[in-house]
Amino acid sequence: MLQTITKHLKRFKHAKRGLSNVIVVMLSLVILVVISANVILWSYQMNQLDWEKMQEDISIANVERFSRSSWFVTQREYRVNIGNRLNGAYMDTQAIDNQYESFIEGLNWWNADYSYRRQITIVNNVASTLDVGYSVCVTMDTASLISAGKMLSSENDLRVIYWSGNTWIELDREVIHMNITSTQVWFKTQAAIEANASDSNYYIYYGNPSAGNPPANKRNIYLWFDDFSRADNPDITTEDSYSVKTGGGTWSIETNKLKNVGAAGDPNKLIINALGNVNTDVDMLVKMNVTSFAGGDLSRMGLSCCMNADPSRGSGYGGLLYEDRNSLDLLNDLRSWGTKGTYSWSLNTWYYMKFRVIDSASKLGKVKVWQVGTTEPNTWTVNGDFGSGTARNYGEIGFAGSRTTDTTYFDDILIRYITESEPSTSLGTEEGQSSNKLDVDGAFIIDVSTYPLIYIHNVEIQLGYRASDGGEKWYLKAYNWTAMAYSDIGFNLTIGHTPTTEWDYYVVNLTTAWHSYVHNNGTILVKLCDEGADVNQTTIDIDFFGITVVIDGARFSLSNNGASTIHLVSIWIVNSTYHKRYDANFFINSGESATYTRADIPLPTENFVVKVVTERGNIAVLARH
Amino acid sequence: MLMVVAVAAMAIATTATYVITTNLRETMGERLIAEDLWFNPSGRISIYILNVGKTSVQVSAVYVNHTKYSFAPTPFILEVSEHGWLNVSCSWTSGNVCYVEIVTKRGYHVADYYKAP
Repeated sequence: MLQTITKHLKRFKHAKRGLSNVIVVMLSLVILVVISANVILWSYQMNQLDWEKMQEDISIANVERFSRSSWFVTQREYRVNIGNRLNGAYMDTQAIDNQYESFIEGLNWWNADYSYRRQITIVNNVASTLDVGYSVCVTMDTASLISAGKMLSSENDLRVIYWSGNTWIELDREVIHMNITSTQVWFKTQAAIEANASDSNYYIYYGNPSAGNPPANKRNIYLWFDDFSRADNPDITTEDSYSVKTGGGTWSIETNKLKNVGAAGDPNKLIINALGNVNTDVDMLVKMNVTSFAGGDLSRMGLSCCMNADPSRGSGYGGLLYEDRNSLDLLNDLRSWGTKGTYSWSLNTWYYMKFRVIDSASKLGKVKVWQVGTTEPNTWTVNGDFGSGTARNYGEIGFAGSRTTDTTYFDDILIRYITESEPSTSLGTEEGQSSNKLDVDGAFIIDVSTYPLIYIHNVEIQLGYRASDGGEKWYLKAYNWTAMAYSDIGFNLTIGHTPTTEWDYYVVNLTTAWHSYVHNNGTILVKLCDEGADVNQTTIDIDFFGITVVIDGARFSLSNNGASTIHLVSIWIVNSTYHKRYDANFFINSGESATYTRADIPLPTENFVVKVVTERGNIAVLARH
Repeated sequence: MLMVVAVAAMAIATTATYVITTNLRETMGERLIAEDLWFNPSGRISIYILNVGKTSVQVSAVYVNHTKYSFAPTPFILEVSEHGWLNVSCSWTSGNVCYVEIVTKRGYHVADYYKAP
């Protein structure tokens, strides 16, 4: 075969007419292929398209106004914040069918030995997140509780408890001034609080006559605390937490105090290197007692923060007793002296010094000194800046020692985070262990693919329930995603609902405020709660709990009577005044009927014509008169 | 010489065939429908056209009762699956029946009767 072809080709080499014949034949074949591909095959495809179009048979069976979505019910179990679940499950609340889920009032109580509690609400007053570990203070009247026999004057039964969502955690706390009307209780937050949001998961428990010693480790209450109550140590830098000092002088522990004897050097600092770099604003508080003071430029002692190695380690901002016994000054180490204030102090006397720098870059500092045993002044002794020297970043913090042979004792160093606007705290009403409350919430998700938020006019919550007693009101609230709290502000009904022992329906309308209660993804969190603690332990049976959205849409009943699947690409609403087209993307299988719901298509109130157009170009029409 | 002439002639024939059949294919692939025709209260006729074919189309003429009228926008080109309003500068009278014919550049046309409201 190959030999034959080779033989013919060799013959063509010498017969040019033969070669031209081959080329002509080849090009003729190309022409045939082009004609086949471009005309015959394409013609077949277009015929098929026309045939498929002819086979389509779509009809509109009905068009109706659609003003309310189907019910959106929870798809997971309700969360019981207060009280208990008796029986049933969330599925029983998805339809009105006498299948119900039951809850019973009660209190989620930390410890049965404690008779009372008050809820603490912490409000973050700044426009940024309040980090976990912030030291907060709540003020309460312990005098009246002690006189009423509800609280021990020893403060042993005053406990701060945090509810993490599934467990109770007892926190270390510091109680300042017991048995007065404004006792301060300090503790550390256990969770971050979003900007301008609040956290109500903290409680003060009391009312246990046999309470033992409470947890009160100040290291767990503040960022740092040290009372130096340990064995004498001639060199505190042997301790890991204070292993770095700069400049000259000695730092020792003597009779449960920190002692500094100054010497030449600059800056002379003892760094609390256990804290590392503290990259946020802090309050520093310490007791000081100067027992030897030479006076002059080298005599200085106090507190320091924002320390770094520029120009040498230990350089930072300082709040100092300086030069004489009537000066309280701000210093930016090795850069500039800042505001110089006056405060008259004495040797061998214990004073409190509080030092604060808000936003290190602003170079603003505050410091005050007052004698231990006296009331803390409401104003800062010095409230100024650190002079013309370059501003510092956040950094290490610690003590500032004298540059000459002065002797200073320090005690009870306390450091805590601080913000420009401190978080506020408030106490709820007293709850007894025998009080009965119920607080249940659930998540409902609106199908925003079918009901886009922009077409929702309103949202309604419906509760079908009964109570074992009608002694109190019940409230429906929703989570306000803007305020980040449950609320019923803006609801058409905020007065609550008093149930009977028969099945009742409680419906609330979120009115125009619904935008605040529905998340962009369609989630709405709804809470059912009672009006407060009471003596009756009420049982609530929930038969139905659902959400519906109010829209102005249309529902199309369509039938595909043809042999192929139909793809709707547009819908027309036509009346005498307008012709409105809506894009569509809806498939109907052969032989099937389907309902197509559109929240974005309002139907005219008068006569109109509906048309649906398929991808292949067929149109079905229905007139509504 | 004969070979050169033969090859050249066939090359021209092949090219011509390709051009002609491609044009023919595009002509065959044109399909469009009038989704809606609106006797607009402003006095003109608006036609909503959907290209359901397999090639782009360009409307070249619109006839109303066999009279050619101008239209906007121009050029009115719809790619495959595209759709849009075609506004015909033609006044209408309520109750009259109009025979509206839309013709594409390649010669495809759709036509139907519409009664003005």
